[in-house]
Amino acid sequence: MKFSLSWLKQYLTTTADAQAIADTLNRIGFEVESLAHTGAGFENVVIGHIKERVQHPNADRLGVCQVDVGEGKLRQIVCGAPNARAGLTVAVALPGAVLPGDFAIKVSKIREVESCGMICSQKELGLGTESNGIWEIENTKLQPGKPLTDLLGSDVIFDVSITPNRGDALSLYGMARDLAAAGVGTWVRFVAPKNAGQGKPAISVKIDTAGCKAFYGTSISGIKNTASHNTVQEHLKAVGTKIISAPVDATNEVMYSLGQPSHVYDADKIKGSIVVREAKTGESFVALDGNTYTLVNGDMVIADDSGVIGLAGIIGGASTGVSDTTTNLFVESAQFDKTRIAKTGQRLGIITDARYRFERGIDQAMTGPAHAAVIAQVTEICGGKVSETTLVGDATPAAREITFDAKLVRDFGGVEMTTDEVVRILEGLQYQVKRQGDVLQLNVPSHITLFDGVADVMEDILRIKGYDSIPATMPAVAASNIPGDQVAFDAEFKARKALAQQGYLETLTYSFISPAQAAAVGGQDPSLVLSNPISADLSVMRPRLLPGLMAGVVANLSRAETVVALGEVGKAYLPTGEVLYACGLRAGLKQGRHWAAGSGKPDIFDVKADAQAVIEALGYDTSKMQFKPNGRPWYHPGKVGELVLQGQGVGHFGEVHPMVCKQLGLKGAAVTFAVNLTNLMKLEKKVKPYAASPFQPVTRDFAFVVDADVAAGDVLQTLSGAGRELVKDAQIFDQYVGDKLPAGKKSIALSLTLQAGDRTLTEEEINGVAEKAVAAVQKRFGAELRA
Amino acid sequence: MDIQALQQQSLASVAQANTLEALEAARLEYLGKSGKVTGLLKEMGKLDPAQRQVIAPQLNQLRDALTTQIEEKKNAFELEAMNSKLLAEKVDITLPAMPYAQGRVHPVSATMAELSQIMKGLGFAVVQGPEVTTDFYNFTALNIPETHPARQDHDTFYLPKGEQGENRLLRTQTSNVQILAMERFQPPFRIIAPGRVYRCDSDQTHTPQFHQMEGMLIDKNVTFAHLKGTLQYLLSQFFGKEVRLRLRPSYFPFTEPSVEIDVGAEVLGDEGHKISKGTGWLEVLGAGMVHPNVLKHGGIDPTQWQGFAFGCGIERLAMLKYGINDLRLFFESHQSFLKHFGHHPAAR
Repeated sequence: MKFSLSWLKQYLTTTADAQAIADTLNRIGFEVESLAHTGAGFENVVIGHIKERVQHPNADRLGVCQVDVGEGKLRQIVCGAPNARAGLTVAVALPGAVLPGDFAIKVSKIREVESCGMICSQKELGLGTESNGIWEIENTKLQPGKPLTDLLGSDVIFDVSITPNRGDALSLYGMARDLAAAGVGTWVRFVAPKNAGQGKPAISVKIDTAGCKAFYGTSISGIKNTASHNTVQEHLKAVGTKIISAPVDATNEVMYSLGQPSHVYDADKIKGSIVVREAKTGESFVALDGNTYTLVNGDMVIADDSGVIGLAGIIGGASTGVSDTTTNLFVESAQFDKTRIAKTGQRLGIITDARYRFERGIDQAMTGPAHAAVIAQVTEICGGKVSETTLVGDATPAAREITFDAKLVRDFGGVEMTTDEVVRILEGLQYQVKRQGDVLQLNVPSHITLFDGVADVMEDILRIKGYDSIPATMPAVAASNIPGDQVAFDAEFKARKALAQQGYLETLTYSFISPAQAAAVGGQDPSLVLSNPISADLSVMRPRLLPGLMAGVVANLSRAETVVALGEVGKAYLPTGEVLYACGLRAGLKQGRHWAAGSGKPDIFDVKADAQAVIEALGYDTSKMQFKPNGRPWYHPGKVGELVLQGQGVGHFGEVHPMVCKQLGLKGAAVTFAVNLTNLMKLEKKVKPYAASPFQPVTRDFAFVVDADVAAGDVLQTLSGAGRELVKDAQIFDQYVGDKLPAGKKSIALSLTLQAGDRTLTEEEINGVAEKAVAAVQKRFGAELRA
Repeated sequence: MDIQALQQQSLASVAQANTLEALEAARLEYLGKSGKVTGLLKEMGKLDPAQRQVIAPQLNQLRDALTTQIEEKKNAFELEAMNSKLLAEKVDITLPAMPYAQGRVHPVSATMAELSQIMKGLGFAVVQGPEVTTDFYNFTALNIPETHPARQDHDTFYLPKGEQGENRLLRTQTSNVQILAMERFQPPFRIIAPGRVYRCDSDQTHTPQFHQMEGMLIDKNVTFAHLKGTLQYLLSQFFGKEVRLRLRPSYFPFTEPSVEIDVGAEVLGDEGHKISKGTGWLEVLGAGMVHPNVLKHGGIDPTQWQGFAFGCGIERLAMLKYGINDLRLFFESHQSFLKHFGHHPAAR
């Protein structure tokens, strides 16, 4: 909320300066976002009288003015404004002035004619947004040469952010109350003017909904609609509200002053009588903002005999709006249910000051006084004859009492406070306190609209006491007594470190991707598509991490990065739940170019190693992991493997399908892996027994010729399975396909290391195992042992 | 034979040998099979015992001295020869090393790990919760009913309604874990909940996704002063030096009183004052005493238990500590950024 210091001082008697007030506001819960001094920036801007204007000799659209700025002689100023003419009182920026936008005024020559300053528009001075030429100052009695600030005055504009629980502070009156309680001056209580009007209001009012608690109505007839006084205009300018006309400005001024929204109708445009009622579904009306709103059951309206003329507590209707020609007014100040207002306001997306205040709750004790204030202000400017004020419903706030033990402050706040101090603070905030020792009987003031009990009282006490006065104490040391999800959380970091150790740069991509990206990796269920995305590109919860990483890879390659390896540990979102993945994607070169080493492209065996490294990092042995040729549609069908541990699939590795690369914008190839950490963590961590043997191991090499489609891993498994208890290790160390073999065949070279724990193996035993192993391979794969 | 003369002659001849060959010749001349010293030693047996007792030690000494000197000199010649050979193998050590394929951990991940480690030291256990949740866990149970104005400040992403007609959304805060933790555990407990959150907002200072860490302690005698003490510890540990705290009253529906916490800008030196725009304070997190309604929603009796909660933005803390000036960089996958601000995997 914005307001000026001078306005605040109507409700706060204080000698504190603006900075001290701002500091206190910050301390008691109102963040001061800015303090602006009006009049700053107007140095060297003075009042001037244009004495003469002649046509510029060298430019059709320019004039040359002689201006009296109180210097004894006239100043020559070139001016292009169409309305510049002799006799005007204007604002003149003299050389040395710096106007908004860092526009420095200097003596200059404009088309050969010297110009010693500038005659300003309001826009150029930062006082308005539109410019129709220079500012014609209405007060012609101002002496030439006087500083412009004599006209504008100098004031301080506060911009304070008010949290949603502080509806009571959405007014100068409420702000002043809190400042006074915090020790900055005294609160000036508002005394409502008496309405001496006579006769019933011209329009009768009926309440037909539980959502309206009370309705004050008053007629003012025979007014002359005109502009508000300067003070009111300045107040409203400070708030940033549009100046409209005296009656409308009065409702705004009173709302900002006292917190109660009111509404003025052109009484002649109201048909019959007014009823506050439930809206009927399908009803529509045109609001003051020019929009047509269609209502539903649950909305609350102000209606006359013709239909809806206002959305209760939110916005008035165009059909009964006050215009320049309005002569008879009807003034409304009412109390509406905050939940009802919030629902309708949210649904229709209408943001008004009235809704904002009703939604946060208004001080019901102020509805009547504010109504009287509006009437007084309107009649003061516009005249008119005032009726009696009718009150329909009950405006009295409900009494709320609570017992509060002042000793609780220490147990809860951790700060020592005397009961006297507690009482002083509460009374400052207008609680009514009956004291019995340390136990306080409190009557909660009506301005506190959000009241939940003791916690609210505690907050008020500690807030005004000041949080700086509360000591910082460590809670007693305690070991964690719950398991929580520490293991799963730590696993994420182990995976991240493993990625980094494998050379990946860990990135965090968005959890939402575009429909096209999702489609490239199998699509997403409609239940995981955002209803209100930032943009279509960020509308689908990612079913895989691959598309986001691919976008990163493409961007880096286009930035001339040659080695690209991005990894991410994060969730994929599936209808079955959120699944944690570790995913890596490599493209470009495998490593930077080097003078002594070739730099190939990363291949699927790089990402196979990466996947194994991640799984190992989480504490799982991958020596028994199986790799099955099972794919997913977004992998190259011939270069993909499923990672199978303890019989469970825990991920995939392989080359990204060229079509998918194309769809995701990658020119060239990429290899990727994804380990499903959620599934992996469900597996048992098996401890492998360690069996060291002092006896000599023996290694034998074999080469088999097999059909090209035989998996080397299967051959390895068969070979090592034949002599189980003596096999210490088995490795595949070479593969050959080529001219020296018949078509459709390949050769695989394997080594078998044998060792016994209790003896040196004899030649006979070694040969026995080897023969058995070879026979098994030959039998299963029709393999031929190469010499 | 004059042993004295032999000694002088032989030692001089070893000393003068300046090649490996000359040294070997000297060795053969005196210590070879038919060398002069060897010869005399062979004669020892023929001498009478009295003479032998005088001469033998002298000869043995001479033999040992020659052996040692020849060995030393030989080693020196060999080293010299080896060094001249090695110099010929000289390489250009200014050539680049093998490419260093060291990856990095993202600064947000690293900061999250750092914060959780500090809290782990205070006995706070990590509790996790889903990112796709309902308005009950994200709002209602946190004392933010449907029509509460605070809901509008949250810029929530919504998903199609669930099977039971529940409003599904992406969590706007890690505070949803407060409720889950209360449902899972009996007080007293202390938890943190780090994770990803979402707001429907995107500009220079907002990204639609970011990370938070929630903290909550429920016990019998927890006070506001304990909240202050805990945060003083957390932030001082995180920034690596004792920080000054400023607590500003604020409002979060799930805590009361609620505060926003600033740290003194001096913790970051001149840069800190620049970031604080001259106010001298840097906003870092929000906190408060858990609202009784929230305890009730979590099935905890507010007359028996009380506690505090806090929530901090991970990116905000990482930006301050590591001098990162644009939030959006965190999510753009630029390798240059990730290399620069990423952490070595062994660093934590």
